[in-house]
Amino acid sequence: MNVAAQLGRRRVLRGMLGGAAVTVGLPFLDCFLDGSGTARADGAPLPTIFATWFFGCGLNPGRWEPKTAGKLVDLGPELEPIRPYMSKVNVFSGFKVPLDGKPAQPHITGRIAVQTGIVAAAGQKTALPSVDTIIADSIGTKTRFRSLEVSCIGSRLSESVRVGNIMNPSEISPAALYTRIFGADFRDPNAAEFTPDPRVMARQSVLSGVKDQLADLQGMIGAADKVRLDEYLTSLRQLEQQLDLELQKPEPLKACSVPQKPAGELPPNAEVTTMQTNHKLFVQLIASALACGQTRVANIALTEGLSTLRRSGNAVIHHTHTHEEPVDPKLGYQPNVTWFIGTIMGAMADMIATFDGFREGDRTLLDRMLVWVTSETGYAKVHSTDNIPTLTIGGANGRVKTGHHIQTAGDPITRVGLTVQQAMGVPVNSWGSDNLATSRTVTEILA
Amino acid sequence: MGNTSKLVRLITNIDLRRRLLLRSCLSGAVFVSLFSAPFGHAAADTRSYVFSWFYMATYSQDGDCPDGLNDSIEQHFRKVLAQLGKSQPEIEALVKAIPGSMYVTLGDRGRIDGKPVSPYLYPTSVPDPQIKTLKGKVGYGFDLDGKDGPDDFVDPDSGAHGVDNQLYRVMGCFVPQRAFPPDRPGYPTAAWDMPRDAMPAWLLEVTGDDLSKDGDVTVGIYQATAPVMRSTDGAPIPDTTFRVSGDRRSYNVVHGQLRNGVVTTEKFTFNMLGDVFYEPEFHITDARVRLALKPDGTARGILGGYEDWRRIYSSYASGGVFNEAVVSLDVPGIYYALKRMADAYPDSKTGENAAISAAYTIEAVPAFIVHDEKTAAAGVPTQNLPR
Amino acid sequence: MAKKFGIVLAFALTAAGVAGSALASTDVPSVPGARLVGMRRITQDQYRQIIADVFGKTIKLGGRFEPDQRDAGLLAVGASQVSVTASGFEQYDDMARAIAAQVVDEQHRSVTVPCIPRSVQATDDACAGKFLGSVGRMLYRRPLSQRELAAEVKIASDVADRLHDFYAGLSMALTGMLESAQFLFRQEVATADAGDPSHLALDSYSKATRLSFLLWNSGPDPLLLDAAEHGELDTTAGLSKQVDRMLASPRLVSGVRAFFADMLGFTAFEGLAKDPVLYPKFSARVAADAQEQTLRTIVDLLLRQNGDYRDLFTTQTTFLTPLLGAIYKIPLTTPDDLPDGWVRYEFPQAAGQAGIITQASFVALHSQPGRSSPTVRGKALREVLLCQKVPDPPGNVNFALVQDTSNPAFKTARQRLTAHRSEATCAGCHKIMDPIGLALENFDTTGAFRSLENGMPIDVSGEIDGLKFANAQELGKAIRDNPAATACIVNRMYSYGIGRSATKEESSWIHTNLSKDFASGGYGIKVLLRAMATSDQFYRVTKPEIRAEIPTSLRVAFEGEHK
Repeated sequence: MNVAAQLGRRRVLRGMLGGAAVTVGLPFLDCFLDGSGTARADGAPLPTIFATWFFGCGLNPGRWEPKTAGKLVDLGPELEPIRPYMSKVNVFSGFKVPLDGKPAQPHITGRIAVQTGIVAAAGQKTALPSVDTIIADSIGTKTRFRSLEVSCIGSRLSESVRVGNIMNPSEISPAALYTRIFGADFRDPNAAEFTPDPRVMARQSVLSGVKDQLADLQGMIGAADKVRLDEYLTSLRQLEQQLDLELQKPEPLKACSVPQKPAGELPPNAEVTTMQTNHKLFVQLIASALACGQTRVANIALTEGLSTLRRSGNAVIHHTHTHEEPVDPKLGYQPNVTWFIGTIMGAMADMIATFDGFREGDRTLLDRMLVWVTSETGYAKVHSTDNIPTLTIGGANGRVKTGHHIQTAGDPITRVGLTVQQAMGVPVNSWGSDNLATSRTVTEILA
Repeated sequence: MGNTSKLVRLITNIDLRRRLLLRSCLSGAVFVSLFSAPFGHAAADTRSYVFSWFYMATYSQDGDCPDGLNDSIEQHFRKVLAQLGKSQPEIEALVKAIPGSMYVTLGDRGRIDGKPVSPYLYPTSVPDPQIKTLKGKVGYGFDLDGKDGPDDFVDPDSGAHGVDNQLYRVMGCFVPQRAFPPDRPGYPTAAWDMPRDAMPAWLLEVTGDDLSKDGDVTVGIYQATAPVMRSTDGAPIPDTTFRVSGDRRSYNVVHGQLRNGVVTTEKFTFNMLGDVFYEPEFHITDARVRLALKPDGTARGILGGYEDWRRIYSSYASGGVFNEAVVSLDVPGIYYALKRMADAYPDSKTGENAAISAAYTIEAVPAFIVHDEKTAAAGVPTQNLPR
Repeated sequence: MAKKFGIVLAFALTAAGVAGSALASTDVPSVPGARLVGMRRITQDQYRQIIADVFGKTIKLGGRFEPDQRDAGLLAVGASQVSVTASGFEQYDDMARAIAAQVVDEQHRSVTVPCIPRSVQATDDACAGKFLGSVGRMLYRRPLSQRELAAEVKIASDVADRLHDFYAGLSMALTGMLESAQFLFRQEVATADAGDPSHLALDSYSKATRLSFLLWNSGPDPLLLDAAEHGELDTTAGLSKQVDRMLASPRLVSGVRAFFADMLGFTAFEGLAKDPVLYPKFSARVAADAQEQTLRTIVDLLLRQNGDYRDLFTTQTTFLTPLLGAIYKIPLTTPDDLPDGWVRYEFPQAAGQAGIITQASFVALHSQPGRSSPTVRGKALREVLLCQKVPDPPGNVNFALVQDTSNPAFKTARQRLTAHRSEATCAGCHKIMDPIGLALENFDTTGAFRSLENGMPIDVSGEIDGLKFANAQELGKAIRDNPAATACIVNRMYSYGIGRSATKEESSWIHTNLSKDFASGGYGIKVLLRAMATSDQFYRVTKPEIRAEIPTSLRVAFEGEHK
């Protein structure tokens, strides 16, 4: 399964168009077939999953970082909810987005830097793909969905962007996501019978015709529009892929069972109870979708960068509190802001519990996942991009070592983005642009 | 009047412009309020509201039912089955199977000449179960008979003695009818909520020379032409506008006094159409209203008087087996208790009292009221009109 | 490039596949230098409008759309930057199949399909061709080429054969058309401008498309397509005739509504919620009514009364529902007491209204969920109505200065924002926004009037660009008289029409020509639209960088082939 050989002209072209330095040719990490992880019926291991989990407005500096560097043996109070899962987590502290004198756009610069590896100057449009789409293009081409995006506060924003600043919009309703995944077009991998639908073949010829017409256009448009047309074509191909899969008998997956339609969903909005409820439903759905092989990449946006989380009866949202609320002299932190942080970290613990509670043979779903938790600021009160919290959760089928606290004194956070890509088998040995360019993998966590 | 004339362009009838009463905001009068009193007084001040709650007033406290509270659904069913002569094992099996055949069993357990009949249509076809009634001393209402008897209450708001509210004694030991203000009892909450989107709203209007001071006032309670509009929490949206329907079965005007922000009215007869799911029709004689006009723009108080107890019973009876099997109200038991505890208007022949004293909680939120031509033209309070 | 061109042509020929017929014989002389200069994805509203226009209002959409993107203040500009994501394509496919199935079902086919097949269980190329050709012309906003039509007929035929169902074949072919890039994107083709070799000019169909989306927010209707086909849009008289026809049509209302909904940023209402404990009145219905109120105000003033655009900041006339009456706390009854009835309403002067800037669609949209926000409102007024960009806050701003919201001494927003005014690092930008927003503080986060905040009277005086005002109404007058307001709408409308920000050269032309026409026309919106739509400039494009000429096969389609 040599991914490098699959790289075509298109991928290299995209890398160059984007402006980031993408180097091809790193020897592919071969431990995918090491046999750690539950095997499928035919003996091949269950695939590795990548997920992102994003929240805005960071954490309180000094209250989340573990004290000991190296092994993860203690937690700051704000990370306390994940104590039961410490052995499956890596915490990264001190990583920053060095601005290099460029003015930071609040709640924009940090996000874009962490996800796409570049510091965008004010007003500048960047067109680089986010880490999850790079990984999805690498591992997600054979599944029904290249990736799934969800948002837990009713906004369709996500952190997942393809080249050309094309954002993959989030689902905001668990019921709608359920219909999309497990509705009429779902093929149960464990179904005894399988009959290909002739209408699907008709749909395939239709898509083929649509593609043919594109060929005419390819030849005569400008570079920027060509990128957009390429994306359109990629999206069309994803649907062709789905139809292909509908015509094949899927591999049986022991841990796959079709879930019930999610119940108890609240109308999507940014109220904390809604976030908590819908987040739980989304994570459960995603777990089922992963176990049933529907995708290998999931992106969960708990909030936007500028977190609009709010509390019923309170006139002010999370983000506004970060700026306006005074630090309580006795407590040493902003009480309302910290309350919101508590709900966010509680949700993170819910997510881990769900994935780790999903058994697949003698292991859990989490064991073959790499969940990359990110935010976009350090101390939100001053929009600092220093010490932006980030974590990885799960062992990625043994490719990632867990239970570490990696502490640095201001290393670029692209080191983590690079490491995460390498862990998922993307053949890169450096990532990031300008002052964020790095080739220093966080080797401590790579197996 | 230039600005205000623009404001009332909505009202087609010129004469009605004098009748359009605007609520003036306590938070800073932006709009000039037009004034007109029903009896041709000079400049008037008005506060207008729409009812957000009207139900039997409760003041449930520990110890006010020393004989205990009335039976739960299961307890009631057991007793009924025993009365019907079922054996103990049969009773256990039927109770375990609830709901099972409970509805049917309850619904025709009455016996006339040995034949099964509805105990709701024929409440005396079952023996008096002697429901537990309220023995507490504190309850809302008014002293309707001018006497301070052993069964009378002390009103928790006014402190008045001799308060007559036998209806509360009849109902007050049923769990779904119990609540301590400002909480609302469970059964009435559902009963009030269900028809809300179909039942025309009830309107409340207080008019006086200057409602920021003590003085004479007039209170109007009317039916609107449309139901309330509700916000997501189920309460009526404040500051909406209603037209008075002018239906004489739901049109009440009475004089009163405003003292320290509380209005107390003279005696009148209260007539209002309701809804079949709630109460079809109210007809309360010797009625009085006591109402606090709050600074936040809402109003809260009570209305008390005498009601034909059979009319009260019939509205519980129409809920029939649902009231017994789901709400745990012993409907025939309520018949017997209402009859026994009725306290006014004795029948000339039998001497049995036809009316029972009662008090209802009123809650209301701000609204605009528009009087249409019929009611404006009438101008005469309905207690003088034939029903 | 010739080799690639040849490959494309060969590929196109083999893809046609239909037995011989007229392909090779209908080559039209090629037009040198033709380029594809723009690809603008149709918005949600445009998609819905087009389906309704082409297939009728009874077709249900029932799908979900990818969010449209906003750039330079307009969705119309963001449309030139978005593509279609994988989840977006899934959705377009779902919708396309659902629409196509309805279009050919028994209920609709007598109206939508112009012929009856020989057999409903077999292919009928003639009938399929008739349907797909005419529908395709409306959907692609130009006639299909022979090759394209043949390809569509082949799909319909293959499917009809496979499923023994003529209409299933039609439905599948139509599905493909509804998810094709030709439908989803407005493809603008330009050729060398005869009068000016340094520019390109849009071809006839692209002109028709640009005109039609500007005035009616939809694809060209059959009359406009005919005019394009006969070259009428290339003559002054012909173009004016079409423009005047379209300006006189009731469909102009949808076009003007769509423009203002875009300019005023109404898509932000989708995520808008107010805290239900503090503001229980505000619901999704209120939000919908608030937008509708403003759009009706605009249509009434600018179209029905042919009024002055500037009066939008001072008008006291609007349209309300009972729900809005509850929000604004004014008595309002509708005929027959219908809860969704709309009533024309004239605010009294005492209500302090200043046209659209005090309506709920402005003050509620630009507020926090639990309270108003003078800074957000001030910024919105500058950016949305005056087209003045407010700089981003510096990345390292020290918010420690703006701490004291719990200070009981700070009762009103004006007091809480003292630091914005007194600190040098803050004041520079905040003095551009806060005074304007503070003028609107009589209107809370839902749009209701209040004269006190936390018991203190609200001071709504301030100044804008040196002009003092005592309250919101005077602010409205100041904006009315501010040349930036009229310059802004002219620029916005132009960007809306061309799908991108104006270049320096275009801005200069806008200033010297369009703005003058607008002014001398009493700032009437129809005057502005007419001046734009009949100008050469509007259909002129700057030379983009591209790679190749358009191959013959496609040029045939674009350059007026026989129907």
